[in-house]
Amino acid sequence: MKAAAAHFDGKLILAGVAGAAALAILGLLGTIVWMSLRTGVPGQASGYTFTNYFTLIGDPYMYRVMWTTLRFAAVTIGIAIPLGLVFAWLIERTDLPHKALAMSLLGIGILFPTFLKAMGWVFLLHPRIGVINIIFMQMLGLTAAPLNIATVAGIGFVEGLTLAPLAYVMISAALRGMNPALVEASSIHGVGKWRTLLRVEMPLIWPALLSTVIWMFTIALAAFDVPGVIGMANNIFTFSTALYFMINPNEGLPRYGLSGAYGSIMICVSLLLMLPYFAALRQSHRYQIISGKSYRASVIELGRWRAAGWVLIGGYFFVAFVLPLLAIFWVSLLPYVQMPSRRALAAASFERYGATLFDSALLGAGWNTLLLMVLVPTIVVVVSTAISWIVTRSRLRGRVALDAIAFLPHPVPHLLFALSIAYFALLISDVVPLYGSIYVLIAVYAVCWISFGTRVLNSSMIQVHRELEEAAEVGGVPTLRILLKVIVPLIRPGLVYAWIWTSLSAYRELTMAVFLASPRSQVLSTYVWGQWHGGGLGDAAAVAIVMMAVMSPLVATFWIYARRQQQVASPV
Amino acid sequence: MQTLAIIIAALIWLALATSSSRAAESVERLVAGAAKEGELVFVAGSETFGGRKGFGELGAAFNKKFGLNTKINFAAGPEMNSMAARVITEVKAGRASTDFYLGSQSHYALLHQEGVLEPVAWSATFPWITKEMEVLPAESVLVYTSLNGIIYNSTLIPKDKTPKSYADLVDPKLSPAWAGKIAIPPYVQWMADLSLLWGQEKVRDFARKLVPLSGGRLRYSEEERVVSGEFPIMANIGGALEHMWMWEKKGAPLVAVTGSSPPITSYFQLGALKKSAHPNTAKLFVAFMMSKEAQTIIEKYDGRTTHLVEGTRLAKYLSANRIKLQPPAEAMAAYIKSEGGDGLKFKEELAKMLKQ
Repeated sequence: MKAAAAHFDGKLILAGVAGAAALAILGLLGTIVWMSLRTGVPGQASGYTFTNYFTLIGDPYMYRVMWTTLRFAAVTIGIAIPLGLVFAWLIERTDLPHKALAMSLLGIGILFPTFLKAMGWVFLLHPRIGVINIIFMQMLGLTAAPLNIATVAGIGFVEGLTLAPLAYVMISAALRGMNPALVEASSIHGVGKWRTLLRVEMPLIWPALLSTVIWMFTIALAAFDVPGVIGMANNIFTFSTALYFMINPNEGLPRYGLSGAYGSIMICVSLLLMLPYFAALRQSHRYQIISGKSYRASVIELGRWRAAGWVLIGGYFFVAFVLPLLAIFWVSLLPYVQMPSRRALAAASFERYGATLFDSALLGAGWNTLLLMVLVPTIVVVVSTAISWIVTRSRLRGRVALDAIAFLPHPVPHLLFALSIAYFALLISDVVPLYGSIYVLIAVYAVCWISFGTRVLNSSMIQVHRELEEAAEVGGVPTLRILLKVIVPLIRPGLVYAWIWTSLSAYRELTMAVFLASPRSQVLSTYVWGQWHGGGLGDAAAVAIVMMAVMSPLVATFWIYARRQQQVASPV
Repeated sequence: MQTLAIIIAALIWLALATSSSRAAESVERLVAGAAKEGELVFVAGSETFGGRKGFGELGAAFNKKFGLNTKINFAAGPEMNSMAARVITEVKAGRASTDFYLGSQSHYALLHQEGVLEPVAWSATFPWITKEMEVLPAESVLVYTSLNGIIYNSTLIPKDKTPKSYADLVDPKLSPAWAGKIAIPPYVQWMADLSLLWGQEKVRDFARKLVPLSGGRLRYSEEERVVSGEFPIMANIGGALEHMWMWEKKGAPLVAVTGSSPPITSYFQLGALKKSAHPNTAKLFVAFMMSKEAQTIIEKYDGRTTHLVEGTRLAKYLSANRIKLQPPAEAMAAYIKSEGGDGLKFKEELAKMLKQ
């Protein structure tokens, strides 16, 4: 009787945690729809109306924004997928030397915050102040800049470069799981390596490629970093930046209702995109190894192309990481942005860094960032464990629905969750003073990354055989104890991987933070954004360099630890 | 008759004495309240009042003046328009994230209309604040006066093509020098102000010609992007002269011209907010910003001052150039009047044009 009660209590606690998370996800999405049916600002009385939808449909500016967003997403995918595919192929399927180093270089690419790269690209490829453009113009005697970052293609290029390592991680998982028997058969029948690559390997990984394309598309749809840093000043608005100006308008009051309508439409579009995504994922299992044997296809010998492989990976690292960083560093030394010259060099100093070191607001932002990096992954791992346990180990009714709800934050643009929680926190601010606090950021980050945590932990838990659990149950061990003493130790690598990845995501996140940050909840990313957006380009650059310098050792340690857990897997 | 005059004089003296003792009492009470609060939060654009450095010095001077040990928090937030929208939303919802607000006529008209400003008898409470400094009586005070104008990078705009007025910006003889590269602000207020001089039709025509020439949108705090050459020219910026004076000190090639005569003038105001977390400190600090010592610090870091405080750079500039500005309260009242009906429609029309 006592054992049964403990059993029941454990399940109740897990169900309670999972249920609260599911309610939070549905509640925040529901708030967006509710917002869309109201007018005015939170706290003002309003009836229910479809006016916001009619306004949106009748506004040609919104169609232009959507068209820009689609073009931006297309360029992003066009850059990220081919690069990710080539990197994955080189690392997984060839005899490229020093693969561990190549993987680490790409890993750094993921960890370097996107908005910092975007800042660097303004100083590199802007048609009037871009160093590369000016060098080209001087060398070739051109009167106009040959390249222009301040275009839709330009911002798509930067976003694509940034997402290439993520595409690599996702595609390499597919290449690793590919059924090698077909490749071997092709080889036995005398088909050349390159022909095998095009005719056998590519068709085998197409479902994974398609799901990566859809994943990249949803990221590009909601991306704020690059469109915010490069696009806004150049009159290029995408979905996220247009939404930002609905809440932070240049004239008049925030248009929460309109942003809610816009968000509701985006939720529908995102959910529709999940249909081909799931279809592709279902297809991908057909092409994977189904035996438990450790069987890998022989790698392709690159021969004299080995150097070319490294030139590509090294070149990518230099262009996507080193160059923007150097550009930011240069700007941080100057009293105002100038082209490299003797005169500019004479004016260079570390003055900004001196001011930065004693800035209490920056220290506060650093502390808040650390807090997020510890608390958010801890919450995500605890909640995801509860959800994944219910989904994969229990026979509770509604577990399939719970899994679907936990997945919802994945396709829906995260900034909509931020918008929703801001609205909700404002509504209840008289009763619970949550608005503007760091807790709001913690809550929304945790809600949004539960989808990632549950994907990782679902796959980890599925691999644990039921026998162990059943034996413990027969022995009368309570549910929570079984989870903590039997399952958790077995899925530890997955838990650590989910924790580290979420922690690093909290460090680099800007999109949600920019909608929610207040003086009390500044984090490093919003601090840099505030400086940039406020016109302090040099100050923003100096803080960005400090941010990189201080956080890099921590980030690198995390990354190395994650690699040791041998869990560098796709977050899908 | 003589007796009556003596009685009247005595009554006036009594009224003045009572009012000044009440004022002194009020300042004392505010200081006592501020000492209990111990903190102040101000959210504004990152470079406001010289950014963290300037605001740090203002904080130190404030503490010194009133014998306080208040922790002064300055946080970089959105620019004034967005911040006004945020403040209104927050106050209506019951919690303001900033204790006071900085903005010009258009922002304060909105704040006034939405009833989010804390009433304070500024000139009656603080001896150094004059009635003329109260832009919105009992609500806001003038912290700096800003002359709008065109700014350009003198190394990128040829000398024979430099604009002398707003009309020059769309002159076909000059405009090829900045076609596709000129930044225009994302706000419409300066054009609405211009319509008071030019008339709405002329401004409409001007906007129709200017928007296709533009290469981007810059907010009023982003003049460094003109200094850097990212945009060689900006059609209008608040505090054009002050920006030029500030960047001149760093050797930057920034030139400013007031685009109209008389110049479009923005009156930047400070006011305490309802639902502020530190109401006493907020009132005290806003009042402090009108003092000579605060104006000197603002001028040092931000280059801006109010023309109503004697001896400031702007007061001297206006006097030297014989420019007479409309009294701030009068300009504010005219602005609020223009907000209704036709004025509002005109601004909406301009906003649509800017979206192109």
